[in-house]
Amino acid sequence: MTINRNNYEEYFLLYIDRELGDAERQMVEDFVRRHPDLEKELAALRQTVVLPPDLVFEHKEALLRDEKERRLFPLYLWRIAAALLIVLAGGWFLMMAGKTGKQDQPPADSLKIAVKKDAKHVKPSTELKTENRESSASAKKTYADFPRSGTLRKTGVPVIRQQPGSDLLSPDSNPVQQKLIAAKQNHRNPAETTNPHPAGDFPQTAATANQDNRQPSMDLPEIARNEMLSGTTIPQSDQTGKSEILNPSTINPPSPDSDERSAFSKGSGGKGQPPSTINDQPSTAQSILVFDSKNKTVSGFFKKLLSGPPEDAVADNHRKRVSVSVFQFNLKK
Amino acid sequence: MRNTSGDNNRKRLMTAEDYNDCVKQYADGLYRFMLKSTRHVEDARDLVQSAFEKLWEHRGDVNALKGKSYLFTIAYHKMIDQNRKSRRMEFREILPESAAESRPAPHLRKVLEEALDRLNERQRSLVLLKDYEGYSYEEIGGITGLNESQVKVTLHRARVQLKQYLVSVENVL
Repeated sequence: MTINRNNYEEYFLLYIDRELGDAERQMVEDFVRRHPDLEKELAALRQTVVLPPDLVFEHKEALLRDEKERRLFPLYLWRIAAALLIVLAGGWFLMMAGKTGKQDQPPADSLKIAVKKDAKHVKPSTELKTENRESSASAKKTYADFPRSGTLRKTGVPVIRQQPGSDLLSPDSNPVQQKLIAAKQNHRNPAETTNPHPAGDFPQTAATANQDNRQPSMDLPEIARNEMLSGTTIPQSDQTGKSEILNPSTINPPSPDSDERSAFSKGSGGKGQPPSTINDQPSTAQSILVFDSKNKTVSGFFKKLLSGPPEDAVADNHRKRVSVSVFQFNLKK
Repeated sequence: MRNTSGDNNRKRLMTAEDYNDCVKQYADGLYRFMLKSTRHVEDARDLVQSAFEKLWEHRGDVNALKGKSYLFTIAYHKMIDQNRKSRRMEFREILPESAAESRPAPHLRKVLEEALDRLNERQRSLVLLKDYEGYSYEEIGGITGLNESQVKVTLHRARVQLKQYLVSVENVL
Protein backbone atom coordinates (compact mmCIF):
# COMPACT_ATOMS: atom_id res chain seq x y z
CA MET A 1 0.00 0.00 0.00
CA THR A 2 1.36 3.36 -1.00
CA ILE A 3 0.56 6.88 0.06
CA ASN A 4 -1.76 8.99 -2.11
CA ARG A 5 -4.04 12.02 -1.80
CA ASN A 6 -6.81 9.90 -0.33
CA ASN A 7 -4.87 8.35 2.52
CA TYR A 8 -2.03 10.76 3.14
CA GLU A 9 -3.46 11.99 6.47
CA GLU A 10 -3.17 8.55 8.05
CA TYR A 11 0.40 8.28 6.81
CA PHE A 12 1.16 11.73 8.15
CA LEU A 13 -0.17 10.77 11.57
CA LEU A 14 1.78 7.54 11.60
CA TYR A 15 4.81 9.51 10.49
CA ILE A 16 4.71 11.97 13.36
CA ASP A 17 3.91 9.15 15.79
CA ARG A 18 7.07 7.36 14.61
CA GLU A 19 5.13 4.25 13.80
CA LEU A 20 6.55 3.87 10.32
CA GLY A 21 9.62 1.99 9.28
CA ASP A 22 12.51 3.63 7.49
CA ALA A 23 11.18 2.78 4.03
CA GLU A 24 7.72 4.14 4.79
CA ARG A 25 9.11 7.29 6.29
CA GLN A 26 11.13 7.87 3.17
CA MET A 27 7.99 7.28 1.13
CA VAL A 28 6.09 9.96 3.05
CA GLU A 29 8.92 12.47 2.70
CA ASP A 30 9.08 11.86 -1.03
CA PHE A 31 5.32 12.31 -1.27
CA VAL A 32 5.47 15.67 0.46
CA ARG A 33 8.19 16.82 -1.91
CA ARG A 34 6.02 15.88 -4.83
CA HIS A 35 2.99 17.67 -3.28
CA PRO A 36 4.19 20.92 -1.66
CA ASP A 37 0.63 22.02 -0.97
CA LEU A 38 0.43 19.26 1.66
CA GLU A 39 3.64 20.22 3.38
CA LYS A 40 1.78 22.72 5.52
CA GLU A 41 -0.60 19.95 6.56
CA LEU A 42 2.26 17.81 7.78
CA ALA A 43 3.83 20.78 9.58
CA ALA A 44 0.55 21.49 11.38
CA LEU A 45 0.34 17.91 12.56
CA ARG A 46 3.96 18.07 13.75
CA GLN A 47 3.04 20.99 15.94
CA THR A 48 0.64 18.78 17.85
CA VAL A 49 3.53 16.81 19.30
CA VAL A 50 3.76 17.72 22.96
CA LEU A 51 7.24 18.24 24.32
CA PRO A 52 7.83 16.95 27.85
CA PRO A 53 8.33 19.72 30.41
CA ASP A 54 11.32 19.82 32.69
CA LEU A 55 9.57 18.42 35.71
CA VAL A 56 11.38 16.52 38.43
CA PHE A 57 9.83 14.34 41.05
CA GLU A 58 11.38 15.70 44.23
CA HIS A 59 10.64 12.78 46.52
CA LYS A 60 12.72 10.06 44.94
CA GLU A 61 14.67 9.41 48.13
CA ALA A 62 11.48 8.46 49.93
CA LEU A 63 10.77 5.87 47.26
CA LEU A 64 14.12 4.12 47.49
CA ARG A 65 14.03 0.81 49.29
CA ASP A 66 16.37 -1.72 50.76
CA GLU A 67 16.00 -5.47 50.41
CA LYS A 68 16.28 -6.09 54.15
CA GLU A 69 14.15 -3.28 55.31
CA ARG A 70 10.92 -2.06 53.96
CA ARG A 71 12.17 1.48 54.07
CA LEU A 72 15.67 2.79 54.27
CA PHE A 73 14.62 4.60 57.40
CA PRO A 74 12.00 2.35 58.96
CA LEU A 75 9.06 3.64 60.84
CA TYR A 76 10.09 2.25 64.22
CA LEU A 77 13.29 4.30 64.08
CA TRP A 78 11.15 7.38 63.76
CA ARG A 79 9.28 6.29 66.87
CA ILE A 80 12.46 5.73 68.82
CA ALA A 81 13.73 9.09 67.66
CA ALA A 82 10.48 10.68 68.79
CA ALA A 83 10.78 9.00 72.19
CA LEU A 84 14.35 10.23 72.60
CA LEU A 85 13.24 13.70 71.60
CA ILE A 86 10.60 13.64 74.31
CA VAL A 87 13.19 12.43 76.82
CA LEU A 88 15.49 15.30 75.96
CA ALA A 89 12.61 17.76 76.02
CA GLY A 90 11.55 16.46 79.42
CA GLY A 91 15.06 16.82 80.78
CA TRP A 92 15.28 20.32 79.41
CA PHE A 93 11.92 21.15 80.93
CA LEU A 94 13.04 19.98 84.34
CA MET A 95 16.21 21.99 84.08
CA MET A 96 14.32 25.10 83.09
CA ALA A 97 11.73 24.47 85.77
CA GLY A 98 14.53 24.36 88.32
CA LYS A 99 15.86 27.70 87.19
CA THR A 100 12.39 29.23 87.18
CA GLY A 101 11.74 27.85 90.64
CA LYS A 102 14.83 29.59 91.93
CA GLN A 103 13.74 32.89 90.46
CA ASP A 104 10.25 32.60 91.93
CA GLN A 105 11.43 31.94 95.46
CA PRO A 106 10.34 34.49 98.07
CA PRO A 107 12.77 36.71 99.93
CA ALA A 108 14.82 35.46 102.85
CA ASP A 109 12.33 36.52 105.56
CA SER A 110 9.53 34.59 104.05
CA LEU A 111 11.89 31.70 103.48
CA LYS A 112 12.43 31.42 107.20
CA ILE A 113 8.71 31.13 107.66
CA ALA A 114 8.62 28.52 104.97
CA VAL A 115 11.29 26.55 106.76
CA LYS A 116 9.24 26.61 109.93
CA LYS A 117 6.20 25.48 108.04
CA ASP A 118 8.21 22.73 106.44
CA ALA A 119 9.43 21.68 109.86
CA LYS A 120 5.83 21.13 110.84
CA HIS A 121 5.51 18.78 107.94
CA VAL A 122 8.31 16.61 109.29
CA LYS A 123 6.00 14.34 111.17
CA PRO A 124 5.66 10.63 111.52
CA SER A 125 5.17 9.16 108.11
CA THR A 126 1.70 7.86 108.84
CA GLU A 127 0.33 11.37 109.22
CA LEU A 128 1.93 12.51 106.03
CA LYS A 129 0.53 9.57 104.25
CA THR A 130 -2.95 10.44 105.45
CA GLU A 131 -2.61 14.03 104.34
CA ASN A 132 -1.63 13.06 100.87
CA ARG A 133 -3.99 10.19 100.41
CA GLU A 134 -6.30 12.26 98.32
CA SER A 135 -3.59 13.36 95.95
CA SER A 136 -2.35 9.79 95.76
CA ALA A 137 -5.75 8.57 94.71
CA SER A 138 -5.99 11.18 92.01
CA ALA A 139 -2.58 10.27 90.71
CA LYS A 140 -3.54 6.62 90.49
CA LYS A 141 -6.68 7.43 88.67
CA THR A 142 -4.81 9.51 86.14
CA TYR A 143 -2.33 6.75 85.55
CA ALA A 144 -4.95 4.06 85.28
CA ASP A 145 -7.09 6.02 82.89
CA PHE A 146 -4.27 6.69 80.50
CA PRO A 147 -4.19 4.74 77.16
CA ARG A 148 -2.21 1.54 77.53
CA SER A 149 -0.71 1.07 74.08
CA GLY A 150 0.23 2.89 70.92
CA THR A 151 0.39 6.24 72.63
CA LEU A 152 2.20 7.94 75.40
CA ARG A 153 1.12 6.30 78.59
CA LYS A 154 2.14 8.94 80.97
CA THR A 155 4.23 12.01 81.03
CA GLY A 156 4.82 14.88 83.30
CA VAL A 157 2.82 13.48 86.22
CA PRO A 158 5.03 11.85 88.79
CA VAL A 159 3.70 8.66 90.28
CA ILE A 160 5.38 6.57 92.89
CA ARG A 161 3.33 3.54 93.62
CA GLN A 162 3.73 -0.01 94.76
CA GLN A 163 1.36 -2.82 93.98
CA PRO A 164 -0.23 -4.45 97.03
CA GLY A 165 1.85 -7.31 98.23
CA SER A 166 4.23 -7.20 95.34
CA ASP A 167 7.82 -8.13 95.99
CA LEU A 168 10.31 -5.77 94.49
CA LEU A 169 12.93 -8.45 94.32
CA SER A 170 10.66 -11.17 93.08
CA PRO A 171 12.62 -13.85 91.20
CA ASP A 172 9.85 -14.41 88.70
CA SER A 173 10.25 -10.99 87.18
CA ASN A 174 10.91 -10.49 83.52
CA PRO A 175 14.50 -10.34 82.22
CA VAL A 176 14.67 -6.60 82.31
CA GLN A 177 13.44 -6.65 85.87
CA GLN A 178 15.95 -9.29 86.88
CA LYS A 179 18.75 -7.32 85.33
CA LEU A 180 17.70 -4.23 87.18
CA ILE A 181 17.34 -6.12 90.44
CA ALA A 182 20.82 -7.56 90.11
CA ALA A 183 22.26 -4.17 89.47
CA LYS A 184 20.29 -2.75 92.35
CA GLN A 185 21.69 -5.33 94.72
CA ASN A 186 25.19 -4.43 93.61
CA HIS A 187 24.65 -0.76 94.28
CA ARG A 188 22.29 -0.85 97.19
CA ASN A 189 23.29 1.55 99.90
CA PRO A 190 22.98 0.99 103.63
CA ALA A 191 20.14 3.46 103.93
CA GLU A 192 17.90 1.25 101.87
CA THR A 193 18.60 -1.83 103.93
CA THR A 194 17.85 0.05 107.13
CA ASN A 195 14.78 1.68 105.78
CA PRO A 196 12.07 0.99 108.33
CA HIS A 197 9.45 1.23 105.64
CA PRO A 198 10.10 -1.38 102.99
CA ALA A 199 8.18 -0.68 99.87
CA GLY A 200 6.06 -3.77 100.16
CA ASP A 201 4.72 -2.62 103.52
CA PHE A 202 3.03 0.35 101.98
CA PRO A 203 0.55 -0.77 99.43
CA GLN A 204 -1.24 1.82 97.34
CA THR A 205 1.25 4.52 98.22
CA ALA A 206 1.52 7.19 95.60
CA ALA A 207 2.66 10.73 95.52
CA THR A 208 2.53 13.55 93.09
CA ALA A 209 5.07 16.29 92.91
CA ASN A 210 3.86 19.70 91.99
CA GLN A 211 4.03 20.30 88.30
CA ASP A 212 4.57 24.02 88.67
CA ASN A 213 7.49 23.32 91.03
CA ARG A 214 6.43 26.12 93.34
CA GLN A 215 5.21 24.09 96.24
CA PRO A 216 7.96 22.44 98.22
CA SER A 217 8.29 18.73 97.94
CA MET A 218 7.92 18.46 101.69
CA ASP A 219 4.25 18.01 100.94
CA LEU A 220 5.07 14.62 99.57
CA PRO A 221 4.71 11.66 101.85
CA GLU A 222 7.98 10.90 103.48
CA ILE A 223 7.80 7.30 102.42
CA ALA A 224 7.35 8.34 98.86
CA ARG A 225 10.31 10.67 99.09
CA ASN A 226 12.46 7.93 100.50
CA GLU A 227 11.52 5.63 97.69
CA MET A 228 12.13 8.28 95.12
CA LEU A 229 15.55 9.02 96.45
CA SER A 230 16.80 5.59 97.29
CA GLY A 231 16.03 3.45 94.30
CA THR A 232 12.77 4.56 92.89
CA THR A 233 10.01 2.09 92.39
CA ILE A 234 8.15 2.82 89.23
CA PRO A 235 5.42 0.31 88.71
CA GLN A 236 4.33 -0.79 85.31
CA SER A 237 0.91 -1.93 86.30
CA ASP A 238 -0.17 -3.46 83.07
CA GLN A 239 -3.02 -5.86 82.67
CA THR A 240 -0.98 -8.76 83.98
CA GLY A 241 -0.28 -6.89 87.18
CA LYS A 242 3.48 -7.05 86.79
CA SER A 243 5.63 -4.20 87.90
CA GLU A 244 9.09 -3.12 86.85
CA ILE A 245 11.77 -1.68 89.06
CA LEU A 246 13.84 1.09 87.68
CA ASN A 247 16.81 1.94 89.78
CA PRO A 248 18.90 4.87 88.68
CA SER A 249 22.03 3.25 90.00
CA THR A 250 21.51 0.27 87.74
CA ILE A 251 21.70 2.43 84.69
CA ASN A 252 24.17 5.06 85.72
CA PRO A 253 27.21 4.08 87.71
CA PRO A 254 27.51 5.65 91.15
CA SER A 255 28.28 9.30 90.77
CA PRO A 256 28.48 12.29 93.02
CA ASP A 257 24.79 12.59 92.42
CA SER A 258 24.13 9.04 93.54
CA ASP A 259 26.29 9.57 96.61
CA GLU A 260 24.24 12.58 97.36
CA ARG A 261 21.13 10.54 96.91
CA SER A 262 22.42 7.92 99.33
CA ALA A 263 23.26 10.52 101.91
CA PHE A 264 19.94 12.10 101.38
CA SER A 265 18.20 8.84 101.93
CA LYS A 266 20.33 8.01 104.88
CA GLY A 267 19.52 11.29 106.53
CA SER A 268 15.80 11.06 106.08
CA GLY A 269 15.10 7.37 106.06
CA GLY A 270 13.00 6.73 109.13
CA LYS A 271 14.83 9.13 111.42
CA GLY A 272 12.47 12.03 110.89
CA GLN A 273 15.22 14.41 109.87
CA PRO A 274 14.79 16.77 106.97
CA PRO A 275 16.77 15.41 104.07
CA SER A 276 18.08 18.80 103.12
CA THR A 277 20.46 18.84 106.08
CA ILE A 278 22.86 16.68 104.12
CA ASN A 279 22.86 18.20 100.70
CA ASP A 280 24.75 21.39 100.04
CA GLN A 281 25.25 20.80 96.34
CA PRO A 282 23.41 22.71 93.66
CA SER A 283 20.41 21.31 91.90
CA THR A 284 20.93 18.04 90.14
CA ALA A 285 18.92 16.10 87.65
CA GLN A 286 18.89 12.47 86.77
CA SER A 287 17.17 10.61 84.04
CA ILE A 288 16.85 7.00 83.04
CA LEU A 289 15.80 5.52 79.76
CA VAL A 290 15.18 1.81 79.46
CA PHE A 291 14.45 0.21 76.11
CA ASP A 292 12.95 -3.25 76.33
CA SER A 293 13.45 -4.76 72.89
CA LYS A 294 11.47 -7.86 73.78
CA ASN A 295 8.30 -6.06 74.75
CA LYS A 296 9.00 -3.09 72.44
CA THR A 297 8.65 -0.61 75.25
CA VAL A 298 10.59 2.45 76.22
CA SER A 299 10.36 3.52 79.81
CA GLY A 300 11.81 6.62 81.27
CA PHE A 301 12.23 8.33 84.58
CA PHE A 302 13.32 11.83 85.43
CA LYS A 303 14.27 13.11 88.79
CA LYS A 304 15.23 16.65 89.54
CA LEU A 305 16.55 17.57 92.96
CA LEU A 306 16.19 21.27 93.44
CA SER A 307 17.84 23.48 95.99
CA GLY A 308 17.76 27.15 96.75
CA PRO A 309 20.03 29.76 95.17
CA PRO A 310 23.55 30.09 96.61
CA GLU A 311 22.81 33.37 98.35
CA ASP A 312 19.93 31.77 100.16
CA ALA A 313 21.77 28.59 100.92
CA VAL A 314 21.94 29.28 104.66
CA ALA A 315 18.40 30.52 105.03
CA ASP A 316 16.88 27.98 102.73
CA ASN A 317 19.09 25.06 103.49
CA HIS A 318 16.05 23.01 104.36
CA ARG A 319 14.11 23.68 101.22
CA LYS A 320 14.56 20.82 98.84
CA ARG A 321 12.26 19.76 96.13
CA VAL A 322 12.13 16.70 93.98
CA SER A 323 10.47 16.75 90.60
CA VAL A 324 9.77 13.38 89.11
CA SER A 325 8.42 12.41 85.74
CA VAL A 326 7.68 8.93 84.55
CA PHE A 327 6.63 7.76 81.11
CA GLN A 328 6.38 4.64 79.07
CA PHE A 329 5.92 4.00 75.37
CA ASN A 330 4.78 0.90 73.60
CA LEU A 331 6.52 0.62 70.24
CA LYS A 332 4.46 -1.46 67.94
CA LYS A 333 5.19 -2.04 64.23
CA MET B 1 21.62 -22.36 24.73
CA ARG B 2 22.11 -18.73 23.91
CA ASN B 3 18.43 -18.27 23.32
CA THR B 4 17.61 -19.94 26.61
CA SER B 5 19.91 -17.66 28.55
CA GLY B 6 18.46 -14.73 26.67
CA ASP B 7 14.97 -15.82 27.73
CA ASN B 8 16.15 -16.14 31.30
CA ASN B 9 17.50 -12.63 31.15
CA ARG B 10 14.24 -11.35 29.77
CA LYS B 11 12.31 -13.11 32.50
CA ARG B 12 14.63 -12.05 35.27
CA LEU B 13 12.54 -10.89 38.20
CA MET B 14 13.02 -7.54 39.78
CA THR B 15 15.41 -7.09 42.67
CA ALA B 16 15.68 -4.21 45.09
CA GLU B 17 18.49 -2.81 42.98
CA ASP B 18 16.32 -2.97 39.87
CA TYR B 19 13.53 -1.30 41.78
CA ASN B 20 15.79 1.55 42.88
CA ASP B 21 16.99 1.94 39.31
CA CYS B 22 13.36 2.28 38.28
CA VAL B 23 12.92 5.02 40.86
CA LYS B 24 15.90 6.91 39.53
CA GLN B 25 15.03 6.46 35.86
CA TYR B 26 11.26 6.63 35.70
CA ALA B 27 10.02 8.63 38.67
CA ASP B 28 10.37 11.91 36.82
CA GLY B 29 8.64 10.66 33.71
CA LEU B 30 5.84 9.05 35.63
CA TYR B 31 5.33 12.18 37.68
CA ARG B 32 5.31 14.26 34.52
CA PHE B 33 2.73 12.01 32.94
CA MET B 34 0.55 12.00 36.05
CA LEU B 35 0.82 15.73 36.57
CA LYS B 36 -0.17 16.51 32.99
CA SER B 37 -2.97 13.96 33.13
CA THR B 38 -4.44 14.96 36.48
CA ARG B 39 -3.29 18.61 36.52
CA HIS B 40 -3.04 18.32 40.26
CA VAL B 41 0.31 18.19 42.03
CA GLU B 42 -0.77 16.26 45.12
CA ASP B 43 -2.73 13.74 43.11
CA ALA B 44 0.24 13.22 40.84
CA ARG B 45 2.57 12.66 43.78
CA ASP B 46 0.19 10.23 45.39
CA LEU B 47 -0.23 8.29 42.20
CA VAL B 48 3.52 8.06 41.67
CA GLN B 49 4.08 6.91 45.22
CA SER B 50 1.33 4.35 45.10
CA ALA B 51 2.63 3.01 41.78
CA PHE B 52 6.11 2.52 43.20
CA GLU B 53 4.63 1.05 46.36
CA LYS B 54 2.85 -1.54 44.31
CA LEU B 55 5.91 -2.23 42.21
CA TRP B 56 7.88 -2.88 45.37
CA GLU B 57 5.23 -5.18 46.77
CA HIS B 58 5.03 -7.20 43.57
CA ARG B 59 8.64 -7.00 42.52
CA GLY B 60 8.90 -10.76 42.86
CA ASP B 61 6.38 -11.15 40.04
CA VAL B 62 7.56 -8.34 37.77
CA ASN B 63 10.04 -8.77 34.97
CA ALA B 64 13.03 -6.59 35.71
CA LEU B 65 12.90 -5.19 32.19
CA LYS B 66 9.21 -4.32 32.40
CA GLY B 67 9.38 -2.01 35.36
CA LYS B 68 8.59 1.12 33.44
CA SER B 69 5.51 -0.20 31.67
CA TYR B 70 4.36 -1.75 34.95
CA LEU B 71 4.63 1.62 36.68
CA PHE B 72 2.80 3.49 33.96
CA THR B 73 0.11 0.83 33.79
CA ILE B 74 -0.51 0.94 37.52
CA ALA B 75 -0.47 4.70 37.68
CA TYR B 76 -2.72 5.08 34.64
CA HIS B 77 -5.39 2.73 35.97
CA LYS B 78 -5.24 4.25 39.40
CA MET B 79 -5.76 7.64 37.86
CA ILE B 80 -8.73 6.39 35.86
CA ASP B 81 -10.26 4.87 38.99
CA GLN B 82 -9.61 8.02 40.95
CA ASN B 83 -11.18 10.20 38.30
CA ARG B 84 -14.23 8.03 38.15
CA LYS B 85 -14.70 8.41 41.88
CA SER B 86 -14.22 12.14 41.96
CA ARG B 87 -15.09 14.11 38.92
CA ARG B 88 -12.68 16.84 39.88
CA MET B 89 -11.12 16.96 36.44
CA GLU B 90 -14.22 18.33 34.76
CA PHE B 91 -14.07 21.39 36.94
CA ARG B 92 -10.42 21.91 36.20
CA GLU B 93 -10.92 21.67 32.49
CA ILE B 94 -13.02 24.78 32.58
CA LEU B 95 -10.28 26.90 34.08
CA PRO B 96 -7.71 26.79 31.26
CA GLU B 97 -10.32 27.79 28.71
CA SER B 98 -11.13 31.06 30.42
CA ALA B 99 -7.41 31.66 30.95
CA ALA B 100 -6.81 31.10 27.27
CA GLU B 101 -9.38 33.62 26.30
CA SER B 102 -7.79 36.33 28.41
CA ARG B 103 -4.26 35.62 27.20
CA PRO B 104 -3.28 38.22 24.62
CA ALA B 105 -0.33 36.60 22.89
CA PRO B 106 -0.17 32.92 23.68
CA HIS B 107 2.95 31.06 22.93
CA LEU B 108 2.55 28.02 20.75
CA ARG B 109 3.43 25.70 23.59
CA LYS B 110 0.91 27.32 25.86
CA VAL B 111 -1.74 27.02 23.19
CA LEU B 112 -0.87 23.39 22.79
CA GLU B 113 -1.22 22.87 26.52
CA GLU B 114 -4.64 24.42 26.38
CA ALA B 115 -5.56 22.27 23.41
CA LEU B 116 -4.37 19.25 25.37
CA ASP B 117 -6.64 20.20 28.23
CA ARG B 118 -9.59 20.18 25.90
CA LEU B 119 -9.07 16.54 24.99
CA ASN B 120 -10.91 13.89 26.86
CA GLU B 121 -9.11 11.88 29.47
CA ARG B 122 -8.26 8.92 27.27
CA GLN B 123 -7.06 11.04 24.36
CA ARG B 124 -4.87 13.12 26.60
CA SER B 125 -3.29 10.13 28.26
CA LEU B 126 -2.53 8.50 24.95
CA VAL B 127 -0.95 11.67 23.57
CA LEU B 128 1.18 12.02 26.68
CA LEU B 129 2.27 8.41 26.60
CA LYS B 130 3.19 8.75 22.96
CA ASP B 131 4.89 12.14 23.08
CA TYR B 132 6.41 12.16 26.56
CA GLU B 133 7.52 8.58 26.79
CA GLY B 134 7.69 7.54 23.15
CA TYR B 135 5.66 4.39 23.64
CA SER B 136 4.50 2.51 20.58
CA TYR B 137 0.84 1.87 19.91
CA GLU B 138 1.30 -1.67 21.12
CA GLU B 139 2.91 -0.56 24.38
CA ILE B 140 0.26 2.07 24.94
CA GLY B 141 -2.34 -0.61 24.38
CA GLY B 142 -0.63 -2.73 27.00
CA ILE B 143 -0.68 0.11 29.51
CA THR B 144 -4.19 1.34 28.87
CA GLY B 145 -5.86 -1.98 28.16
CA LEU B 146 -6.84 -0.93 24.63
CA ASN B 147 -6.00 -2.84 21.50
CA GLU B 148 -3.62 -1.39 18.98
CA SER B 149 -6.35 -0.25 16.60
CA GLN B 150 -8.17 1.61 19.34
CA VAL B 151 -4.96 3.33 20.32
CA LYS B 152 -4.28 4.31 16.74
CA VAL B 153 -7.77 5.66 16.11
CA THR B 154 -7.92 7.51 19.41
CA LEU B 155 -4.53 9.08 18.91
CA HIS B 156 -5.32 10.14 15.38
CA ARG B 157 -8.53 11.80 16.45
CA ALA B 158 -6.67 13.56 19.22
CA ARG B 159 -4.02 14.81 16.80
CA VAL B 160 -6.60 16.15 14.42
CA GLN B 161 -8.42 17.86 17.27
CA LEU B 162 -5.20 19.43 18.49
CA LYS B 163 -4.33 20.61 15.00
CA GLN B 164 -7.74 22.17 14.52
CA TYR B 165 -7.46 24.04 17.79
CA LEU B 166 -4.01 25.35 16.92
CA VAL B 167 -5.16 26.48 13.53
CA SER B 168 -8.27 28.14 14.94
CA VAL B 169 -6.27 30.09 17.52
CA GLU B 170 -3.80 31.22 14.89
CA ASN B 171 -6.62 32.39 12.66
CA VAL B 172 -8.28 34.35 15.47
CA LEU B 173 -5.02 36.02 16.43
